[in-house]
Amino acid sequence: MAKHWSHMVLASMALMVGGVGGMAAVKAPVVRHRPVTITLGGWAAYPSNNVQKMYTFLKPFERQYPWIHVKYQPVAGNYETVLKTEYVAGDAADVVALNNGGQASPFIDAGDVLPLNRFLKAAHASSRQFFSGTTSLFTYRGKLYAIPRDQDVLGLFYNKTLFAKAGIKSPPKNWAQLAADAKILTDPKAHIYGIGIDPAEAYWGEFVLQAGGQIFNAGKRRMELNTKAALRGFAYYVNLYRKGWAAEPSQVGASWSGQSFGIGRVAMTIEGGWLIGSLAQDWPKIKYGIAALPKGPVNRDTFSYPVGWAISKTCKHPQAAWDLINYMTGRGQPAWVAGTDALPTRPSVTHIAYFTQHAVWTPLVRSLPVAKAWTFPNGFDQFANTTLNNQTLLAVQGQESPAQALRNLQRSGQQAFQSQSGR
Amino acid sequence: MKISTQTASTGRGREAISRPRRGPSLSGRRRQDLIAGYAFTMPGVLILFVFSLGPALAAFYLSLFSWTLLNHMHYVGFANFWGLLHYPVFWIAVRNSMGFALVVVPIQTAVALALAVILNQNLPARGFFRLAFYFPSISSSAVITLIFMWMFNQLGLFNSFLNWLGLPGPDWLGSPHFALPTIMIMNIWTTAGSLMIIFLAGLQGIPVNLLEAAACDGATPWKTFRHVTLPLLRTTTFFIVVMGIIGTLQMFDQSFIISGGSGGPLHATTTVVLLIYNFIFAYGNVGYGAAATVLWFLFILGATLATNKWLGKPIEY
Repeated sequence: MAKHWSHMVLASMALMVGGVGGMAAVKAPVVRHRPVTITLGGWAAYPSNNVQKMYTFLKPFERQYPWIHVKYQPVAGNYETVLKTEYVAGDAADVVALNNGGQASPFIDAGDVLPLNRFLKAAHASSRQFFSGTTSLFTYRGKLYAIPRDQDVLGLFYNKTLFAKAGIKSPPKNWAQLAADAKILTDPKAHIYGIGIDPAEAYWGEFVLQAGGQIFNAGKRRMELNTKAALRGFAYYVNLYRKGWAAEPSQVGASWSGQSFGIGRVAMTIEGGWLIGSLAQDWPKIKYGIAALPKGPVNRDTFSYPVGWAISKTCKHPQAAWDLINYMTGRGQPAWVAGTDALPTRPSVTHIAYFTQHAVWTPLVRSLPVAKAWTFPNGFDQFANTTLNNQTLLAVQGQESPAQALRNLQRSGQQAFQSQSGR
Repeated sequence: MKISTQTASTGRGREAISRPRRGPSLSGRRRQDLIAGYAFTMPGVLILFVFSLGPALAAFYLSLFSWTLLNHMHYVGFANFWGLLHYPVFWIAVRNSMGFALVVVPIQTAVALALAVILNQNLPARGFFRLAFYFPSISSSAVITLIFMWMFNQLGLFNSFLNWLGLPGPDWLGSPHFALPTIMIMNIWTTAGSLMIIFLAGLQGIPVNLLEAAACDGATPWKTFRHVTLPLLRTTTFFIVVMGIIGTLQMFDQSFIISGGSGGPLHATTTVVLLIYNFIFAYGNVGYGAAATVLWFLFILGATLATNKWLGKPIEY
């Protein structure tokens, strides 16, 4: 069916070219390529809306590569679960999206996706054309396994109405101001809190970074939560809760902090650029601004959440798949980020008109150079889903000191490394 | 009764006589019936083997292997069982699932019986109430969970009601102490309706003359219920308790939705089946998931057999 379709495209192209006139017919290149179909995976919250959007986005690509027909097959939820079963069954898409947060490494480690260095080299491209925070996520043993397609970074969202009411003129610029403002903005009787940050490492990790620490060492072979810097960052975050200035989403009847912010129950939140779209769609009345994360004692690092395109090892036409990836992450990237409310992975794309026209993104675009990808080593899903969440919650709810929580995390994280190497 | 037994025996007798004449095979008519019977049940049997029994047997096989879904599996013997029994969260999950069953099964059975008895009377608007109580059972449990999450959140409808009464409402979904009880309440509310229908059918199957005889003998309504209705409902009760035990021990969807798949807060909503799902599909530890499946299968089988011993005897009039 798909093949048939691409034949028809070719035929109609030939007709069009023939119809334009003799000159064009002479100039038109002889079609040397056999038509191929490339299946494109990835997830989409509302596949029905997104399929059409994707095909519109891919029109210029199919015009340039008329022999490559792209078939988009998005997954609606639990993407990695579905992708794993697809690899077991051997019917994964040719081009698949790999996610941040430790969701890329299982597929790379198992050899389910191809290294892309030789394609990059043949295309005279280099991974240096991308923010290093994005390519590091997909680099294993010196090889790049996915080309970063887009990313999001954490920023500070603040409610302008609540800020004006409290007499605060500008968003906080450093940790001290953040705590002071959160205190002023908190009104427990009205169920309004200074700040909402999810009790999860994807959010508190940035405080550890800004205090000069890190979660894992550079090679991701060791836990690094037993440092003074890590404790300083984590303790600052926990303290916001212990003082009553920060609220868990469930405390204000929300399921995530973006929602707490949207319904006006927290005056500030630390969230990614995805919240911009959610606010516009679900809580359009809120007046808000975005600032770069308040600076920590050591640096102003932030977390980024990149997504990349990779080629399945089962793909029968890797060159065509590469051409597709190269388009989507290269010439197509400006259109892609503008259409999906995401941030570019190439520094050169940060200057496009979309971001000057949509100034709300500016602080996030500016923090891209200091963004570090949020991720876990392979085999850390269980640790991240259980121990990491539990210890965070115990510290935030005051049942454990921050130091105790970090000691437990360090110990069980090291155990996870050991059981991983024993596999 | 007697007549039909005779017919059956004569039928068998005729077959026995006809056998030597037509060889050892069944008569043509019987064979045709057999073939048709198997042919008609074949799709169902095939589906049962491919999608239910096959995967169930595969779980036994997989429980002896180490496999992340993506790598090559290798045999590890009973190491998965050993590791699982030493994994504290497994025991938390067992405790949660068993606690869930111990609370939900008796209450939902009692509520369903009470509703059925009430709606078996000649009450005005009986049809409306039957519909209203049955409605939650035919709604999607995912949708009901989402509605409950909205009603039971910290600043939600239910807490507003408690506040109006002057009571402080807890953080139903965010607190480790209240998350599982919230799911219990929700589960009782949704399943009591469908169990009520089964009890209603059982109530209407009770011969009226027995109830009338009890009334003639001067039994009070309570005594009639206690000594006539309830014993005669035993087969229905057996069915409901067994289905309840199996259903509650396999609770997954509500926990999954309320906790976003994590089983939190602090494992409060981690049930055995949710843990199995996470082992296999999230943690890349298929062997542990399969081992837990095997252990949990044995436990549910044991619970069902015990119930059978207790309630499964035939009724003697």
